[in-house]
Amino acid sequence: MIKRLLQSLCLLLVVLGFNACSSDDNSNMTGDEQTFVTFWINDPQDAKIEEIKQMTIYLTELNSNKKTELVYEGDKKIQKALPTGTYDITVEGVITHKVNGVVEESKVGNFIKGVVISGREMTKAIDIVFKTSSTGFVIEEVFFAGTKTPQGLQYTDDQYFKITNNSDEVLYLDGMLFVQSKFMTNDKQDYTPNIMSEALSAGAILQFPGKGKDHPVEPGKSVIFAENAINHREFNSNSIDLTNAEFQNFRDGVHDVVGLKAAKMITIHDELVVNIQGSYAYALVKMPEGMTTEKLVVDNIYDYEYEMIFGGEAYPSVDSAIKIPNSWIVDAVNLGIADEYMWNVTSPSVDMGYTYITQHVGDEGRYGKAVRRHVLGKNAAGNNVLKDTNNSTVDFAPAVRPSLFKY
Amino acid sequence: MLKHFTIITRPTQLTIIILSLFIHFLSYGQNTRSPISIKVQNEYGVAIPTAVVMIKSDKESVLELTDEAGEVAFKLVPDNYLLEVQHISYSFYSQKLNTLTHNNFTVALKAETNQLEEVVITAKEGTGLTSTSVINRRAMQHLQPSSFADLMELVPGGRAQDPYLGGVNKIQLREVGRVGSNIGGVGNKQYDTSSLGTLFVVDGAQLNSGANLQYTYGYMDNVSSGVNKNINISSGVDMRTISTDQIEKVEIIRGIPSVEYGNLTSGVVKITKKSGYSKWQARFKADGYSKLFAVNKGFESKDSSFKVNVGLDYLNAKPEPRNDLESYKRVTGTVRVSKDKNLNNGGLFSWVSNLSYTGSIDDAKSDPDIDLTGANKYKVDNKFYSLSNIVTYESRNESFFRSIELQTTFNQRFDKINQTKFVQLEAATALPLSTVDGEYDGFFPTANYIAESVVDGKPLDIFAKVVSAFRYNMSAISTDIRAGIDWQYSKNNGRGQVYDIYKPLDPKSTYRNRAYKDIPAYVTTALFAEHISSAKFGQHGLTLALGARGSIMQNLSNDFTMSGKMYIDPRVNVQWTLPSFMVANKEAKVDLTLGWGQQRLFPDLNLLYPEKYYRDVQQLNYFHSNPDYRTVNYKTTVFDPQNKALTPALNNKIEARLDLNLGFHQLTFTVFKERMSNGFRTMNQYGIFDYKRYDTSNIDHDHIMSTPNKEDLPYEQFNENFLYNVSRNGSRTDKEGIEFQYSSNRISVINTRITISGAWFRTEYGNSLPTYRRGNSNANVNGKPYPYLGLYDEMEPKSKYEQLNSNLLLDTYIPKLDLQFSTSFQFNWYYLAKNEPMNGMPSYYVGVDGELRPYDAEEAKGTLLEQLVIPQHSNADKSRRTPMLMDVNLKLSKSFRNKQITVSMFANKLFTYYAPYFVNGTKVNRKGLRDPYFGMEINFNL
Repeated sequence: MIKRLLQSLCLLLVVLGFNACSSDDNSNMTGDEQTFVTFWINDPQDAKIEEIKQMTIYLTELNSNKKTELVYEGDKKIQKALPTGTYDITVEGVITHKVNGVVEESKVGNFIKGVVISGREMTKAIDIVFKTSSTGFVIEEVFFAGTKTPQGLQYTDDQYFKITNNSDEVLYLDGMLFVQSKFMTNDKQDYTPNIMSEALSAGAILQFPGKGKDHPVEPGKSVIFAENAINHREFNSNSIDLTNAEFQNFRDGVHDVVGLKAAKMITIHDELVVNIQGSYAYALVKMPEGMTTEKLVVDNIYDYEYEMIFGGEAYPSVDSAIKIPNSWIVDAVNLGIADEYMWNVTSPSVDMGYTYITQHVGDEGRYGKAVRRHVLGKNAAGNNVLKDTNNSTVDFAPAVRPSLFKY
Repeated sequence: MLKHFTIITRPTQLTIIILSLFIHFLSYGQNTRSPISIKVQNEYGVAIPTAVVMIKSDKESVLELTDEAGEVAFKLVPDNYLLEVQHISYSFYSQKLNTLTHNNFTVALKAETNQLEEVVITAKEGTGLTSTSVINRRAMQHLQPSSFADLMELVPGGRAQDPYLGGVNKIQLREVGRVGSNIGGVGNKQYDTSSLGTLFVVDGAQLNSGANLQYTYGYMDNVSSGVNKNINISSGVDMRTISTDQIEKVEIIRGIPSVEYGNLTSGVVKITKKSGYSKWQARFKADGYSKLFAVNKGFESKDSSFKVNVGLDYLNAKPEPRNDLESYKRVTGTVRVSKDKNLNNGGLFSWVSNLSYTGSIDDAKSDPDIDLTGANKYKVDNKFYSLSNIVTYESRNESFFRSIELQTTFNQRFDKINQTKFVQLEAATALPLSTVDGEYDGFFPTANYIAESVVDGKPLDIFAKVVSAFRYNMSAISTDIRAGIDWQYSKNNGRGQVYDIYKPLDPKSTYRNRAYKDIPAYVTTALFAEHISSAKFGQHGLTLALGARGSIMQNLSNDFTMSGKMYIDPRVNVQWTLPSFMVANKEAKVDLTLGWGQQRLFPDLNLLYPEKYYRDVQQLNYFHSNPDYRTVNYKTTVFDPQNKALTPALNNKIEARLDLNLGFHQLTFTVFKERMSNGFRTMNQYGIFDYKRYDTSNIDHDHIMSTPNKEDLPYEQFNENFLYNVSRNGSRTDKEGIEFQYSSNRISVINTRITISGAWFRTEYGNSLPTYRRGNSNANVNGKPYPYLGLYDEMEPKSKYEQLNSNLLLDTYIPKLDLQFSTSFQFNWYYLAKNEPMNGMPSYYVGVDGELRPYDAEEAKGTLLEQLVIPQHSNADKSRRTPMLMDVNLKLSKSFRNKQITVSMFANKLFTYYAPYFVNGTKVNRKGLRDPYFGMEINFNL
């Protein structure tokens, strides 16, 4: 114990000593030498800057601890005469760039350590990377439409969700909830009381299995949550092999078959039947400390009523859902059919828009298509940064080829 | 009268007449004869052919028919004669005539007002002991129906409906009904007892079957609701299968029928077929939905004692005119033979035999643009053969014994539902196979296959009935007694739902086949006696009918509640005829009729012997990527939903009727109340079962060499409860209302009769027994079904429907043009639907252990049990009311060539007015929602 304490003290002394040295260095270099620096802004990886909306470079001279702020004025460069020295550089800004031909606005930034600025003139290229707006899991892709068999019939068991760690750290899915909304995006009713501003009304609630650290997801990496983790090509040659999915839906029904490798989701409330038209919202939810699924299904019951208008008559109806406070929601996406879409079934603070596969009901072209989040670019670690502005209309690319359909 | 007349018109008869005239001429030939010609015409100067002209004097009498020019010529000895001219459509004409002064004589016949009055194109309200609608041939002809269902427009409260030939047409007497509607209680199969309990009798032969089991298992699982509309188990006779072309008359007994009719709750539809001579009659009808062709002919012997009637008709319907793939076809053929014989002792012996065939086919094919396999087909094919015989002996002496009648009916149906389907598994699936309790391996069906299924039903119904009638007079009271015995045997000899269990139509189904022929027969016997006394007390008349019918269901095992029990239906009808009096030179008559009665209906085979319920749970499902290592094991638990406590459904009816007659004005009011609290329905029963769940997670899936043996695997044991359907006497249908009809005389100037008929109905539906439900929502909780079941008062909200309908019909008959047209203004003054709020609080609850415990709402707070309380809408009892709507229907028929050809057309909903209304502040404008329905037909009478 004493030995440990002594070690710590020694370390402290060493640090203090270094500190004294650097101060000395600083005082040694108090000359008037200036360097005229031109900072060039490089394009982020896999993207091309259309326009720099705003950008600020924060410089900290390490010896004098003197701070300088340079504001971008145009021409993809910032020029300034700076005292010669060693600088830490932080860049922050907003740029526009094209994603799939559409101009997007994104936050960018970077941190560059220990840049020596010396000489009469100097040019320094500044690399920028996209900044992640969310720092957790996102639903990257939803494949809900199913496929068509060679005989032209529908096959739906190959649906899947792709969940991606859009942060810079390892995250764990253990104990998180996967929620399907109770309300449908193509059926707007005056549900009373209206709790949408504070909570999502959940129908099916599933829980990811695990004791806490059983299901880690590395930054930028994804997991597949499949309707059924088997090789669907056995039943439909136009489908895919989902044997390697990490999770699968498990409905305790009579006839269901489940894959052997994927972990079964735990059904907490109702059962998840993924609608082949979309028409629901899906959310990833992290319960706060102290909340359990047992408590959730008892304490958070939400009884509501509405008058269903049908054929010129109003039918008073009642139903129940489970309240999921908006603050628990990590990510959410509203799905619909463009022609039928009526409203979002989440609060705008969670999702302001919706995404779709088809324009109209019965579109045969929907089979084998998915919705997928736009990739903004690569971050500093070389991982894709997914667009997450809490607006599925702009965050998602509608009707794209699912990422697992590789052949 | 028509009958006699037409006999005379036949060539053989004419020959005889001419011959006899010739004899007359011979015998009186020595006298000087002068010719006399008589021309017969109507008020408008149009010649009347085939009028019977008779000239008689003290010495001779001659008879001749007018020719096409309306003329007839005689040669007569001058004398004083009496000239008599008769024609069915005109008043009798007679005049004294001296042939010396007249030799050309024109007779103008007056169209008989009586006859005009008899042209009734609406249902006539019967004046008998109970409320009855009588629909005659003329009314049917004017209505231009496609099937019997269309006649329901003529019953009080009825409205013209577009023919609905794509699905079963159930009869809903005195019920607020909407065809094809499945909302709430209306048209709901839980409230079918009313239509199941409406008896259809064709010339004494019952149509209702006790052994109809035609449905596909999708119907029971409620999977493919699209085809359910063609299925009518436990819902009575499908009215679209009855053709109207061989019908002479229909009587719809809405009130309390005679005890002669039993095993019913709601009423009797009595159909009388055409009998006796008729010309060749053909009818061709076409409308937007169907084409119909019918032909019939009646033959008769000279003395009218032997009659043969034959008829054939064909209907081809496209229920949805834009859909070429769905069709309904009906073929009906009938032969009716009757023979009367006067016996030496003065008695009359008669025999009527009816042989009929009805084939109906619902056909649906898949759209080749959608179904690329082209394999999918659906066909409901029903063949119905009926042979009925009625043998009657009638005494013509004034003896106590009056008559005895023996009726026998054999109805054999051959019903098939053929389905072929290309099944593509939408998800990997496993299926159980075992038909008995226990743990058995299932199998994995292939990804796609062609499934074929036949539902083979052969219901055989045999009815036998003996009725004897007696009469005696005691002072001023004359009494009729009718007594008899009624026996029914129904058995289904079909094979049931036959299919390859490895290739089921629906890979999600839990159905297991059973052969219908293994189901015991349905046998009932009933004894009935009725005592009808009529008496005159001065000017007053009183008729009292007292009847009782005792019925018993046989061939039941002893543990059925109904076994060995006789159920007695008492029925009383009394009619008081007030003294008639004169108003405006017309005789006015007032009748007051009261009735009370009980009607009971036995449950049919489908309700008595329901299918077993199979609960299959996967205990092990090892779906390895190598098919050789796959295995699936089920625990099958079988539940028998048979309810041995079923009792007959009982409908208590009470009604009062007022008939006012003034000349040809007729006004009728009927007030009725019907209460049936034990109609048949399915209700939830709970069962418990246990199963194991094997854990395969410890198996090294990549290195196994054989299927895992479940004995080596760890498992967990679970208990669960679940709900299944049991037939129970739990359906309440209460009907009340006022029916009214007024018909005027035919206003002579405009030849128009006004008929106003209609009804106000209120019908209430609800379950009358408590039921089990899984509470608030059927949601799973923490991976298992919600573990509690509650016992609730309500299965669904009690609902109340009301409507007031009235039809104003103006029918005009212009004899000069032989043109008949009618305009019907059909009003629905309002329609109201209202649900009573439910009590969402259970009285008891059941956990997974199957034990029933009382429910304490306070204790349940904050636990899962709290979700057994079903929240109720604060506006649950808000009524939905739609305001007035009106359709104007036009019908027109015109005869040509002396009624040989009649051309008719109709346009329903030609004009409509649908009042707009507001729902939750939104204006609902119903304008243009209904398309007119047009059709036309041509009738030949050659």
